[in-house]
Amino acid sequence: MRIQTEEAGECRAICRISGELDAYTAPDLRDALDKLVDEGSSWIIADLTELTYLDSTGLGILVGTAKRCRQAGGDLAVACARTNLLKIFQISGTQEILNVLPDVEAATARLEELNEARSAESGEEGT
Amino acid sequence: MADRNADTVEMILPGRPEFLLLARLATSGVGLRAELTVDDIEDLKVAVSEACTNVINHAFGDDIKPADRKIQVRMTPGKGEMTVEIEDEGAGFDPKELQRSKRDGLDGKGGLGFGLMKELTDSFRVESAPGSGTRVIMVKRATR
Repeated sequence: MRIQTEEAGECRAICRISGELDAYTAPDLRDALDKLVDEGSSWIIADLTELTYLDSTGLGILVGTAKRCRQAGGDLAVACARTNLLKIFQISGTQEILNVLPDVEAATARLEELNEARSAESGEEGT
Repeated sequence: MADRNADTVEMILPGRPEFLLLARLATSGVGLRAELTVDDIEDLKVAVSEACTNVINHAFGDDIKPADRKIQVRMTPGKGEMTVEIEDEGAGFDPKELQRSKRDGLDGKGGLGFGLMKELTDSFRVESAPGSGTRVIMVKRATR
């Protein structure tokens, strides 16, 4: 598995994950995502478009990161179009809570939408 | 125990996460012999990996030496179907606990993993008892 993270300013970051995400490789992803949140990123896109394998261990990490992002006022969105992976999100019922969308552009738009909605609710300008 | 045949593949894997990939690779190879589709094989790879992950995470207490933590894997290709048995000689559990884990969802001990195994295979059975190890038996049939 290969992980590439990129901070995009204003609490935003993208984490690109390729290869196979299982119980062996998952700790590396947990460390990378924890680091992003610890360093202030609360709006994170997990780009899984090049990921070929995902199971419950990886899902647990994504859900945990989404919770941490929300606690920090942000959220997490997943970019994924691979049928076998979408099936895992569907069976586990995590498609909505992880904002699973087909590509990075759609995931970015979803986070912008959530940011604007929360800003409107609180009457403040978005991050 | 499921019926073995001349093409049955049996492996004893060390109970460590770095060997999960090997279990998935074997699933692909035997799945092709069973004439499963690519999608069927992808489903079964997740189910097999989840079963092995549960063994690694839950079967062995601190009293079991790392060298003794083993996962027995048996894969039998049939005509358009494949049977997989994943067995350990670890702590075992009361299968009734599966219902509780299911309620706990992502935070449950192996709960989501068992849910995926059940959903991604055509037949799924767990044989276990406290102190007697665990055997998971799964069958995947080829979709046409």
